[in-house]
Amino acid sequence: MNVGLPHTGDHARAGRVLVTGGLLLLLVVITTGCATYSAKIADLRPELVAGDFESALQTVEDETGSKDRLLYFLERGIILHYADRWTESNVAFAAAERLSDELYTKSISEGAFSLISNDNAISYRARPFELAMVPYFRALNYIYLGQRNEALVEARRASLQMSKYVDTTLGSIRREDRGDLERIRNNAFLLYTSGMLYDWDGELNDAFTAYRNAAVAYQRNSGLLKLVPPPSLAADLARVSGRLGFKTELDELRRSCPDVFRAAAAAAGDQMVAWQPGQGTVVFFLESGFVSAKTQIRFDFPVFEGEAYNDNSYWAWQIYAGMGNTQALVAGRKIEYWVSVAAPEMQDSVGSVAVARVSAVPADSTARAAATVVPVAVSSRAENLSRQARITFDAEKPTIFFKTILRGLTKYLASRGAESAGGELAKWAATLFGAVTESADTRSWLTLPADVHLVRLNLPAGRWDLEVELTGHGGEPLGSQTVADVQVRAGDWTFLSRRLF
Amino acid sequence: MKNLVNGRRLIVLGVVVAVVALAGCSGKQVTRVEVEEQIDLSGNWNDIDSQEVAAALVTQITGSTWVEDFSAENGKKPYIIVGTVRNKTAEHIPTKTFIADLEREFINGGRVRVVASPEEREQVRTERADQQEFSSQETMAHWGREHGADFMLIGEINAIVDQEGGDQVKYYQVDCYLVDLEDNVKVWTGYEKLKKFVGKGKYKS
Repeated sequence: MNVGLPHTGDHARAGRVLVTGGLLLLLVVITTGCATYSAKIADLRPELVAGDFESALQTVEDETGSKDRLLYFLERGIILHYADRWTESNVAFAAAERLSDELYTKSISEGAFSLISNDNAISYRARPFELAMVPYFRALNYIYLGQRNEALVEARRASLQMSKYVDTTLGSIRREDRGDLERIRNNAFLLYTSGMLYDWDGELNDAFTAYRNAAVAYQRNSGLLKLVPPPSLAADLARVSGRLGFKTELDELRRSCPDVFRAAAAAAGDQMVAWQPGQGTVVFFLESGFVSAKTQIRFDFPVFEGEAYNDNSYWAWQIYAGMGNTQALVAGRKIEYWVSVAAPEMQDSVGSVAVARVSAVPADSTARAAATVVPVAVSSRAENLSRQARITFDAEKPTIFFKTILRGLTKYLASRGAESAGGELAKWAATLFGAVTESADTRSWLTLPADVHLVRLNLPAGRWDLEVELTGHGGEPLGSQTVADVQVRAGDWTFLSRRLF
Repeated sequence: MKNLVNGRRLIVLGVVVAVVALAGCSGKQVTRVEVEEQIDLSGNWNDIDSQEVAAALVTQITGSTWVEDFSAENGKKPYIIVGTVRNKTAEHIPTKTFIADLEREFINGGRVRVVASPEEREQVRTERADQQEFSSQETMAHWGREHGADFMLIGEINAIVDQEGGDQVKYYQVDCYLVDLEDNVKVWTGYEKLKKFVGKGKYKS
């Protein structure tokens, strides 16, 4: 049976094929590695779920390469955040942002090398929704460290970052593919969070601007991103515009953002709307699940001698029908070239929590016994990172597909060139190189949550236990958790966050 | 034989490609430079900005007529305390360093006297209390001789950033006010500006 191996019958020559192939394989393993990023770092998520932060840090240390430096810092930043090592987390996030700025300038040599190897040869540039979350985590770190002014710096940055990063990403995407990615340039959740931080600092004009922009973004994108505008946003707009005398602006917003104000009307009577003298407000972020990640789809199939290589639709058809191709086993046919194509595929995921119901009970047992009313608030899905990951991936997909085809073609031409220069042996060495180096770029910030739920409670000053009842998407109870001993000060804000897997 | 030779060439070519690809992973390089040397890496607010703005503001403040007016009225140099300088930019600016630069410029200029900050005073008072117990009568510092400040300097740093592609223009404005601690009258206001262009190429080799 002849399936295309060099049919010289000469053992020495076959030996040279093996030696050359082996050396190239070794070279490839050294320079690019064989497994995809998501496969290499598969232990990370289970380690985070188990709260084994040291192992998670070690996994990131061991499994990220020189082209994954940005991911190294982002993963490190979030792990350290959950490990309550806030200062170190901020150091890692700051390094990530610096590196991201440096990576604005694209390397031509990396791009050229990726054409003969794979996209993992290019330094990872984070997606806009990934980098936009850095100020959120840094702001929480600074709040927990008691550095309010620094948290406010993050509030200012959050408003700028998303649009800046979206613009950078759009630059590398075809105009006709940009649609939804352009729509999510203004991130409603980050704008709202910024507004609350300004509000906390008494910067009411900045707070109103951020709230207004958040309302517009929620009105525009809630359907696309499957978000629920937090009812507290309308209440905040009403309160702050009242203080500033911005009645006309508020009326205009009521007209232009009906969904935002409808959400508040639906929650009327709820504890989250009113904010009475002597009360403080609690902002509770519930981060749920893991953001959608990429996996690899791979096609390997032979191209036989005598087939129409100059037919433009031939390759596309082969890719479409190539999986499980068994023609290679047919006797008497000679393989001209072995095509290997790998591309990333997004695996959509949603956070397990559909809604959280938060009841506040006094932390002090005497006060608890005397309490007649239990303040309750229900969460809203204020941010959906999995949807943003999908929208970003869909916008990038045509470009990724084009590059994959271009890379396949480059590798094929390289094997033809190698054959002309060095004969059959060189051709098969080049083919082997092309096949082994083919790997999809599945890199992404894997430990980001799928979504963030927001709960607002206005409570009398004192110490409170927050009892959180979680419900899944099918209405099934997911259990409950208690956030103990939350300090509420009159006229002040308390920011809290918890991660649920 | 010919195939073997070409195979070797291919290996050499592969090694060259790998070396080029790995060239970007060269090790860390540290070079000592003069403290005064101006090095702009990111375009963010840096040590040189802090020093230059502080020097320019202090020149403005101490060059104004209120210093002579106060000295003529009171027969002494004015005592100043540098209060808070609020960072209202989207950058983490170490305002304590900027305050220290302002204090240094005031002290070195010699036209005004500078009073220690509340945190520094607490530290000094702790030491003074310690002296009352452990120092000799002749050498111990006495209570009730602290100089109250006549004026407080307050300020804030604002920034406007304009961006297009990889290019960025950063405009910083540092506004300061000198307030009479007795009657809240502003005796001086002024500002210093900084403008920076940060350009980034889209491609590198």
